[in-house]
Amino acid sequence: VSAWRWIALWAGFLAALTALMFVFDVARIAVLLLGGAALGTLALAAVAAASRRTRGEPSSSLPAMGVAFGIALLVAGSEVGPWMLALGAGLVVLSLGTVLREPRA
Amino acid sequence: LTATAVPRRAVATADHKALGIRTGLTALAFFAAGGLLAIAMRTELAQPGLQVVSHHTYNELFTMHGSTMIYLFVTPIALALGLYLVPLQVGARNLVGARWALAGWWLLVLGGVAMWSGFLMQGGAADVTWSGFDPLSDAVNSPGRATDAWIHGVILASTGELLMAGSIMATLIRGRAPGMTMLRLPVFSWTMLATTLMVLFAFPVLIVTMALLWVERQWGGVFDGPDGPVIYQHLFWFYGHPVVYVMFFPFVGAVGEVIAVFSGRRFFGYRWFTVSILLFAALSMSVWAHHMLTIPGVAVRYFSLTSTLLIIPAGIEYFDLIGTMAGGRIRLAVPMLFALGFLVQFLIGGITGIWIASPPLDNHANNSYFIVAHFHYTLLAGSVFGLFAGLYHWWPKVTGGLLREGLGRWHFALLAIGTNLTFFPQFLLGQEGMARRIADYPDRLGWGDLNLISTIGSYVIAVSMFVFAVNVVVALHRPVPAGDDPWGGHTLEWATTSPPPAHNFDALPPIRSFAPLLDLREAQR
Repeated sequence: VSAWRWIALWAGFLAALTALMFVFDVARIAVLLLGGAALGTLALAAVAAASRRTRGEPSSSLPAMGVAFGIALLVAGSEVGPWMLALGAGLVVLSLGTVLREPRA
Repeated sequence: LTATAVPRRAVATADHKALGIRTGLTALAFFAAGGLLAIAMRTELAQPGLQVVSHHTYNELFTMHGSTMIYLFVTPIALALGLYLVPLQVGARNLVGARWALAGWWLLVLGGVAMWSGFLMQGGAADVTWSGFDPLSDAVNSPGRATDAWIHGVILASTGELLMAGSIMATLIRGRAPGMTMLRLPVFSWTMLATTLMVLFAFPVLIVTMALLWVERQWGGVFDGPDGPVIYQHLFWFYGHPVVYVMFFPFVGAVGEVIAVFSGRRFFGYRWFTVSILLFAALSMSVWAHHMLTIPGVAVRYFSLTSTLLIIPAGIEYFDLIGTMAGGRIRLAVPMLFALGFLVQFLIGGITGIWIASPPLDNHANNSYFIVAHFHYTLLAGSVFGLFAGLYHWWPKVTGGLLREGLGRWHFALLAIGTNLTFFPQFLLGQEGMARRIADYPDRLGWGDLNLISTIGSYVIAVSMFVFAVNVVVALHRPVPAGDDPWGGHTLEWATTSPPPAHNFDALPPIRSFAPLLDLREAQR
């Protein structure tokens, strides 16, 4: 049985547990949270079914590290000020672009 | 190697083994830091009337202890095992999406720094509990930048863990070697699949919740209404309960591998295990509001029912683990000792969990030391024993040498004594009504002796960790070569050299089951 079917089985478990909520008059937010997870898992199963075997990856990646620092600057920028937000956003965009263009192994 | 290659690899390697080791070391460093906070707390509580730290500092200590252990130690070290082992167990050359795991490790480090930076700020570190409940954590009740730094730290660390989990899951879905079907995945890899599914669907909710809490602190209007605090709790615990299983499943997997190898038997009930671990993970996504059973309006019957149903998959796991040992040639080496310790001690945590899944009992035990004892039996007395079972088991694969058996036995004995001395008295304290998160208690209540025993136990745990550290130093400085497969392993990681080469495998053995090396040995006989 391929991987996506196991993920879909898990989505089925979550959906059944969401359905059971209606028997017990559970708060709407709880239904949304668990039901959302069930739908999300189903979407993941679809992605897994459609995905192909990936090519190799580089043995190291400074841009990937740049993505992490960019996200950290974005988060810290929310406190420090717009200049750091802009720096973080720029670093994330630049690093993501470089990651996508990085040569693979 | 070029002049830039070495520093580049030092900070930006995308090799899964290096990432696993770095994530593990990062988590262990935070474990040491969080452990020191615990020692300070237990010292404060040793006797009534002590003022080792102020009440305000005590609030910071338990907030940062809980936050460090959950966001920065147990979750990342569980993922570290996956980063290192999953590609080896499925016969892959590296993780799929290893660069995202690299970004994840950096986010974890930066998140930890952000969280701990609060200690350098005016007014001290965050003091809003590891769950950051609103309105305790709003700008009125918790002013100052430390709480914001804590929120940022949680967001960064959790995003990092999400990226690592995504990479591990992608490896399980698309990185498997030819012949490695889903029903040939090793037990540990199955537990990582369940773990990463929970991370993928629970952690984003935490990240959004923390972002909302930050907005609430700046401008208000998010959790303001009469239902606001309850909505916050629903959102938080939708992450906060699955994460308990994120901190449990990988160690069940590790214990499963250890028990099979040290019993000399194939894992018992494999197919039941695979389905039950998925059911276990699904149920664990549906039980979160059992943390809210005392709140009026929460559908206690649903959450009590789902919480009690957890006993079914848990029972299957235990049955499989015990069934694997039955009739086996059991070797009581250090990894097996820790695995057996896990089985016994987690059982105490699990059974007390079933008690408090019952609303009438939870109304009595809620917010008491009974709860503290319960979750420490699952996390420290349980999962950490599973972690050490795994560390002693896979240490030779990672380093090529063996940890010392004698020191390992001392480590196990001291940790077993220490955890039970520390946490069993806390059941009794909870029964007598001692509330959690208090820095002091009146002498007349007679809680001093039990608290003193608990504090002594925490010191014994600290000594056991020192013994482990000595063992690591000795093993690294005077290595005893382990060979490629010192235990007679069943799974693919034991088919390569110790430590494995950059490309992991020169050649793979035929994969016809979840224990391909055991298949080979049986065929040779």
